[in-house]
Amino acid sequence: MKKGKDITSTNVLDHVFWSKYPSLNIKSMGRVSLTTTVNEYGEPVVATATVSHDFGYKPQFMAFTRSYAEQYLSKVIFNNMELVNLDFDISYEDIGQNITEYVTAHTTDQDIVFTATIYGWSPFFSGSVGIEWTYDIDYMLFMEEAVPLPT
Amino acid sequence: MSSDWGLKIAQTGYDVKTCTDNHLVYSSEYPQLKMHSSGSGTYTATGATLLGFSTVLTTHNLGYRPFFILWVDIGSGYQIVPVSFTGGTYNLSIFGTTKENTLEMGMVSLDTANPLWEEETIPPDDPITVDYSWVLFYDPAQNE
Repeated sequence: MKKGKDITSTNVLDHVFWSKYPSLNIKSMGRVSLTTTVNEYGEPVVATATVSHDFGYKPQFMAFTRSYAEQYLSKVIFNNMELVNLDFDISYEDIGQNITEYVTAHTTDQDIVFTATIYGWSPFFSGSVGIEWTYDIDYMLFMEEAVPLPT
Repeated sequence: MSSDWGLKIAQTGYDVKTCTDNHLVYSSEYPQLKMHSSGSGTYTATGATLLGFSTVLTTHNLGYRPFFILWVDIGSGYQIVPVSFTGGTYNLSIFGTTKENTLEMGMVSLDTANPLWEEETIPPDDPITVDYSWVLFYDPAQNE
């Protein structure tokens, strides 16, 4: 119970733990590196990394990474993207071009799958120009399944 | 004495001794997220450069980057960040970032109408107002 609250309280907010209401248990944590590449035309290639968890169900999760912007762009403006949570989908202006980044994650019964894409684009050149970059992604897999809870 | 000991609680209708983990509501085998603090507020951006800015939501002084969840309401209810939306001629992205001593909310924009790389400002008569709510945990966000 929270300090000053009675164990017989039926208000869930008075409890720090109540088995009637599941709370998130951290089953595993890890880090994966994901490097984006470009094809022979300089276009972006989506990078994918799959990490096996073998839970046999789709767990809830959270993942964090560092933005390309935090590493490379103007420190005055972008130095705040130090560790951001996924799914990360952002576009911004850089010197000479605009940058778009996508970093995503999803789970299956056996794996957690990460993807990353980053490219620059501008009215002054056609198409998108891929950027080679490595994202270090820290992830947390919870014991709880990503499905509606039983009533 | 066996080293296989601990506490498990199963969901209603499942045998705690045999059910799989997804049918447990608690297992002492796995640590739980431990809430450090929470808060909410309203942030109004006006006049500043639209290219990008940030604000400190809380100073935690934990010395490492803790796990967090941040929600913002840009007019259609609370959404978990990062979120991106269009306002006028610009696309705005809001993100949360966890630092060693602070939790911060940042925004970057991409103007779709003006020439590239111009310094843009938020129109004084059309400020960007964001309601936000956050929860910070003791548990680190990084696997270190």
